Amino acid sequence: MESYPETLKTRLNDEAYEYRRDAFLAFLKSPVRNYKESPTVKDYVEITDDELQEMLYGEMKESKESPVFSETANLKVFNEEITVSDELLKEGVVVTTMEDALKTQPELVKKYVFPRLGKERIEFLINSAWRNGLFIYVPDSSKVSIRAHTINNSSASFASKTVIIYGKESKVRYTDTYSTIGQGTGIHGKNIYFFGGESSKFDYLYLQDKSEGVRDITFVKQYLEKFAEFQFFHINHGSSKTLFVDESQQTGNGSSFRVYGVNFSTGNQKMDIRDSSFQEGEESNADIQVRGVVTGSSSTIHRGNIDLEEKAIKATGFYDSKILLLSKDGFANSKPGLEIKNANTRSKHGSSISNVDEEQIFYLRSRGIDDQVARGMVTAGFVGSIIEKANDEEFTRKVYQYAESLGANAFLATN
Amino acid sequence: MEVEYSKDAEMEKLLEDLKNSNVKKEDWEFHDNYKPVYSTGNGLNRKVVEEISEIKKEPDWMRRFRLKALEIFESKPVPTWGPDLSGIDWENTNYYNRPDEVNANNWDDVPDEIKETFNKLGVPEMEQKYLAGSVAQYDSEGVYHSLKKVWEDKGVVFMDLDSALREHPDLVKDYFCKAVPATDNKFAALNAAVWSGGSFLYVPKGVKIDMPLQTYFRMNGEATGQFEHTIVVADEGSKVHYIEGCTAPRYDKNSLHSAIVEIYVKKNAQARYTSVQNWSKSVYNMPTKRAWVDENANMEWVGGSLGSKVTMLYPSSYLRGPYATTHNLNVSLAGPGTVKDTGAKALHLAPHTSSRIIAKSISIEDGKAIYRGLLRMNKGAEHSRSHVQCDALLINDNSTSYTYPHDEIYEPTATFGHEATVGRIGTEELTYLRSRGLSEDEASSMIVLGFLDDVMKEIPMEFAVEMNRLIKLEMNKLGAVG
Repeated sequence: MESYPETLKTRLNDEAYEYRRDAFLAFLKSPVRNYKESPTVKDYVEITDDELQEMLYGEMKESKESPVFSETANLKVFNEEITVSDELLKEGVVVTTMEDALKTQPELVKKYVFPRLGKERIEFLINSAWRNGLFIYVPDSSKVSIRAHTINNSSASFASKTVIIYGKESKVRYTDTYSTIGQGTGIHGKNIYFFGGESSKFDYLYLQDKSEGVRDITFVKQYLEKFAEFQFFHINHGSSKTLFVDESQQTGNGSSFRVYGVNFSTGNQKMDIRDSSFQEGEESNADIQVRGVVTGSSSTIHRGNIDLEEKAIKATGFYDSKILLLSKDGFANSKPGLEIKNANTRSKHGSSISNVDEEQIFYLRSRGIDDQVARGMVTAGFVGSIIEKANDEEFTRKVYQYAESLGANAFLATN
Repeated sequence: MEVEYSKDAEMEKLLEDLKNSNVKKEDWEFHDNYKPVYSTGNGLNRKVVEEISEIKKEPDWMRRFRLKALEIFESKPVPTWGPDLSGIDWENTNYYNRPDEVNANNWDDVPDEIKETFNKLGVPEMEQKYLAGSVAQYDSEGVYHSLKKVWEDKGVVFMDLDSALREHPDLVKDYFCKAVPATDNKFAALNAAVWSGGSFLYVPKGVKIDMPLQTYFRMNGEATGQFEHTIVVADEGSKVHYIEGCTAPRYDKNSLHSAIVEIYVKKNAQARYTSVQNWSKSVYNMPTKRAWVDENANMEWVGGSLGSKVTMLYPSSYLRGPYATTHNLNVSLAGPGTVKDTGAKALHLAPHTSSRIIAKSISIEDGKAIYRGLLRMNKGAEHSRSHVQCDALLINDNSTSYTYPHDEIYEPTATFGHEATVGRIGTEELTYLRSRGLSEDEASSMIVLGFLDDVMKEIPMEFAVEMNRLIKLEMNKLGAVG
């Protein structure tokens, strides 16, 4: 870490130098927690300083395998190369790399990117050290459907930053799939920031399915202006360690934030999934629903904070977490939080952790369904209620596959 | 250019700090980040601890235990994960205040001034009417204890802990700091080092006491600390209800209350612990309360946190035997300028255990109510169940409420649910009550009391009346609310 300022001055000395430097300063200033997270665990998902160094100085390694992209993808990213189909680049839509955006979109970068250094320690570091990522701009009143597929070499380590700016009254649907090639153990850090204009609508379908050795750190932020609506479906399935932090920044009055998350952990995977809202806008609303399926010796923690600030008059915030703990060696954990600074609001959270309901299994078996299949079905039903809302066949089919396979295999492992 | 220069310089300095801090990484857990407590005057040091032990003519093991605890206290940092505790003046706190050479079991022998205080608080009256026995503590020492003869004959021991240490040393040694070891947290270590007073209650096998037993704690001195240590042992098949009340007058200087309550509920026993705390708004209230609950035993915590400047209180139940159960009901009232960081812990360590936690909080003006809790189901706690519910009511626009539950589940056959809500007094409810002829104050009070109803009905009548009165008093001070 000590030689990083030198790296900044040489390898990362671009148009964003001052921003990178300020972000690094913020990283240095942010305190490291000096108490255990729980009596038994220091960190649910520990990211050591050595791992952060790996992310800072890692390389985009060459890969022998060639990537296989989803057939429907109209935006393909392989390591640092991007391929954009022509249909996407109509009516003033900009899709480019962040590095290019520094040169070609200086005004937008200055307005949206530079003022925001982040909130958390690792987020600061990613904002300082990013080397790749996307820059997308959707003009006012446009309607766009982006199907992105990003494939990285699993042994590469890097930090990336993606910025998506969409204008007022625009409508965007964005499917964002992340996968890897190879069986490496790289560390991937990424910050994804959204800037939603007035009365815009954004549907974001995020799916992370990286190979099991990869460590994945993701920070997602949604800056929402007046009446902007953001609907977020996120699925975390792969990687050995997943730190996923999502927080809305709802300064706009009447802005709306809906999150439907499903997290599958198996083997020795560790997941720390945080979905929070930060609401300053009057009558803003947030509704967060997260589901987890835990098998093997894996562990999952769901955290979520509803933060209703003083200005957020008549705002509402709800958080709901449910985890199916399917194995005797697994570990499920929930830490929801409410921070309510204004009485003229409504908020609530709920969380539950349990196994599959045996009565449901009994019912399915009495209809002639095999026990293993029945458990898969119940698990799929558990996540289905929220994932169906995504209204995307390919996306929901994948989620059902994960759920059915995990639910059925958990049963095999215990019997 | 100047700005740029200073940023680079700052970065260099921070990097330098980072290099140095790497050295200490291994022992981060015990890293000490506050000034050591060492003063010959008011402060705390070996001499003070030895002095306390000597005045009390304690056995040697206790003196050594205290000194060890002092070392632990000094090695632990002040917790930073909760409310601001920087107002505790460690060096100018008086750790031991002895009222007089007296510990009577006849009310008439208690010095007049102290008697008058307790009379005002209604202690002797309650004893006659409702209680099977009582202990009264004034500053650091117990001044009065009594137990109805019928229970004494059955082998019940109820007295202040100092007397118990003299009269039943082996019994005390068996239980002292077992559920709450001195290493548990900084405040537990402090109590283990300088404890004075508190109650010792032992209920023998099969004895069921149908009337509650009570202790009343009064802190009178300015900038004093009260460090009572209470031990309740409900032996196999017994039943007991123990009540504690606490008050202190208001001073400008802050006082510290750091108690330990240890409750041992043996096989098939039932214990209920009720405490209503109304410390004045200059008191930092930092008790550690814990129960060990054995097979098929039941532990109930009923608590009201009304007063104090800052309270950090999380009564916990360790469900150690199969079919052990615990219930925890808690009401917190965060009045103007105060912080209530309260909650509960339940640790399921055996199969078929169950827990239920209900926490209600009310924030008035800039009062801050925080719920913080831990629910743990260990591997092997098969078919255990738990439900946690915390509700908060905000009275004014600038009132705040925070909820931080923490749930850890290691057992797949366990079932767990948690819910929390934060709301305010609805205009519709107010309008309805006002249309029935109630004033705004009366209507608000009625809604607040309705909100607390679940807990109120579990609290003994005299405490419920007291709580009712206190809540109304706090509400009325505000004038119109809602």
